[in-house]
Amino acid sequence: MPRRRPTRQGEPAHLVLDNEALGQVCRGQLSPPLAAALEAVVATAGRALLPMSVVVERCFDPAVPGAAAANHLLRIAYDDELTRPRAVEAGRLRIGVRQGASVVDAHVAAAALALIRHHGGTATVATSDVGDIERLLDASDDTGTRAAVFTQAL
Amino acid sequence: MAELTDLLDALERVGDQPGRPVSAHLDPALNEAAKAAVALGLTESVSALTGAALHAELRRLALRGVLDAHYAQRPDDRPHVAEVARYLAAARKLPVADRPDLPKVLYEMADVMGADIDPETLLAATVGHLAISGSAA
Repeated sequence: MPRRRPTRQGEPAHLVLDNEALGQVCRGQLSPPLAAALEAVVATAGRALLPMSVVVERCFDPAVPGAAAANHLLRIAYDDELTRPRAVEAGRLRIGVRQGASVVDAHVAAAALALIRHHGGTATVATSDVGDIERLLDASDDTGTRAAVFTQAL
Repeated sequence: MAELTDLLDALERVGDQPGRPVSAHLDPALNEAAKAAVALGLTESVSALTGAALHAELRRLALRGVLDAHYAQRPDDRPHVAEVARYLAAARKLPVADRPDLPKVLYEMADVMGADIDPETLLAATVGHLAISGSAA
């Protein structure tokens, strides 16, 4: 499988946020890797995406500091393309991982693959579980798209 | 912050209503280029192209606004442009991303090019500089 896919200047650098990444926003604290990743989205006119299963796992309590920022981000980054084929792909990725994987992580990986198919460029998953996401991505049959998805440890 | 909320509110309503004519001053060449793209079958219509481009740019600007609002509370979270350029090099798996001297050169180039340089331009200039200079700085 091709693991390196050099891309041209100007291609969008998309970002998919996992539970920990959203948690940072909720806490009102951006780690240097996440801040750089979000700035790269702005710089390249990419897309920031919050998979719905990540959103539903988080509680948006208005009393929590950072909830306003999290809700702002949610309004422009929510995943409005959660289709049946996407859910099926997430299920296939999950089955393809021998040790099993969380449903949320499978949706995160499927969302990253879908971003590339719909918008081109590269996608990075900002995650606290690099190994789990990499294994899920490796389970994809779509090797061309998978080669454009990377992970960034938070 | 109220203006940011207005922007986010309006973006969430995109697609709720049928389009209607609005007046806008455009560079005539842009209009001609858009018509040519329609004639080539690359896009449905000038209106569709304009709407899609405007939507994408407004989404980008909204994220800019969200980040700036965050930095207003926590200025130390704003990354240096060299760090964003370094991230782009890694995200794109550029060969220079593996160079140990990349961070140092990015910071030096940012100092030379000024604080307002955008990360894409900084990265391109640094890749060019490293290609010419060859060995690690």
